Amino acid sequence: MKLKPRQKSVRQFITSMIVISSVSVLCFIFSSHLDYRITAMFLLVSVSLIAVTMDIVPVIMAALLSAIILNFFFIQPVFTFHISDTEDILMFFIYIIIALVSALLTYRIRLAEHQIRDREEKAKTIRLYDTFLNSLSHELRTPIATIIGAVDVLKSDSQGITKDDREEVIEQIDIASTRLNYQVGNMLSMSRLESGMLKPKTEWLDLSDLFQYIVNKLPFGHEKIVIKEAEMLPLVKTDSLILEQVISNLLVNALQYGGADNLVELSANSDDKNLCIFVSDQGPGIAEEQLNNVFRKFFRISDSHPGGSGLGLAIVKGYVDALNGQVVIRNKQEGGLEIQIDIPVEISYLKNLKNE
Amino acid sequence: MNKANILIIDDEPQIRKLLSITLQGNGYKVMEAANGKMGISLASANSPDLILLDLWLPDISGFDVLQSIKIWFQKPVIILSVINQEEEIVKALDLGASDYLTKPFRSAELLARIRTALRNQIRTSSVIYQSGALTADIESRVVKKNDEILKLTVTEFNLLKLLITNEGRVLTHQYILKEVWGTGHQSETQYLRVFIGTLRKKIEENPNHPEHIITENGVGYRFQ
Repeated sequence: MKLKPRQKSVRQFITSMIVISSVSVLCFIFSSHLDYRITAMFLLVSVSLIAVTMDIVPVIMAALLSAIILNFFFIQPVFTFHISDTEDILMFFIYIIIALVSALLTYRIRLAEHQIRDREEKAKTIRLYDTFLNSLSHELRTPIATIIGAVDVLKSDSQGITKDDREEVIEQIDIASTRLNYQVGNMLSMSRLESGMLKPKTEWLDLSDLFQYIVNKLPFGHEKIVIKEAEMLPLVKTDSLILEQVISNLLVNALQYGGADNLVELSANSDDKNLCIFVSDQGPGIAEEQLNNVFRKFFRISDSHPGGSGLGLAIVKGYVDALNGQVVIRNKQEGGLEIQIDIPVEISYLKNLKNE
Repeated sequence: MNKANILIIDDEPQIRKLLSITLQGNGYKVMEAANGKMGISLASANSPDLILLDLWLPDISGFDVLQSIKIWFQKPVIILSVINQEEEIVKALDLGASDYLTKPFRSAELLARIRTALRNQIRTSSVIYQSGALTADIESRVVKKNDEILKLTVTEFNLLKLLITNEGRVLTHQYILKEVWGTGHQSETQYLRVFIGTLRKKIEENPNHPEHIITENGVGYRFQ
């Protein structure tokens, strides 16, 4: 855990003081064997070492403290700030200059290092952004290319194109337009989320109704989705449209990556303050080390089939954050992936009372 | 062949073109207006049987159009909007629109909504409603499923009555609460959810796949 800047400078300050003091004490103890000029060397070395590892303020403090100590405790007459010998006065001032220069030198080196690192970070961000744009561009232009190509086939009066070809190509236009619409929808969602202008609106919801509604509205795969025990869920108060988008994206994701013939399960439970929703599939799951990367924009598993936007789960995370909730992703023991959404909600047991 | 007259009010020529082709191809007569004011005057001059109204028009808004024709235009108005505009849709429905479609929509959906809207204009409470296993005689307050009389509470019946007499329209949550529970109860959506649930359990063949009471998330309910 990185220390906060203030804590870090306090620590450095204390450490540098301790180092200077310890070196001074040791030299003082052995002062009968050590010439005071050697002591000056030792202190200078200490200041330089401090300069290598610490920020400029502790270094300058160490330089000044060591100069004061050198003067008071080691240069004749001892225990005064007076210096009797002219050569000693010269030495003292040279000492101070060298100590401060080494502080300054290391400061400039540190600065240059930071600038290089910043430049590298910026370059990295630009590269990442370029990758996003390329991905986005690809996701949009591929279906457009399909549509343009298909239209050209339909316009063509070339003899080699059969009726079957035309029908096939019309089907391609249908699929490509749907995909384009879906991608645009995702991009708009992402845009809304990133604008920070999203304001969740709450209303009371019947979850079993909502789950069914969401499943029925999916463009494909309804028969593969199992809704578990939603009858007994209480009424919850949250944003119905956000919840619809979140669950929808999770289901689409599970259908696409959970294996072609496998079932996807949607379930939920709640306590007095929280709603937990689970979407799980029977697919291959995701490598442990990749698990938390799946919520990043444009993240795709390397060998995944085309057609996904890479945004679906990033949108889920964004919306869940907007609801002050959390997303947890795990590989199930029995195989397959499970994504859990926890959101704080108001609960009403009116429905359960009425149904008794 | 249905010879109903449909007025399209939308500023996009491509949308008007495609809608015209689709509707004419299905036997409807079509009129087009590229802005709100033209739409209003065409509506008053020609009395279309149904209006398809885009909410985003160049001169005045779709809401203004609804407001203007509300008093004298009694036929269905279907709103064409885009996604994530549930608030606008609710506002339009409260201004008298009967149903809505989100662009892009499939022709099948459009035609189905138009058929439903046109078919259900003459729903009054003296008609006996019948569809599939469900029969409802509103006047005598008798509702049967598979010829068995259902026991509905007063609230459940009033809710069903409101839905049936408005078949083909989308009713907003607030509107339903106001009509069934009274003004001042418009924020009690909890009750609405609960009673829709119990009503579905009674009248639907499969409450989990409702055929009659349809949810429109974020907007309201529809009966079909």
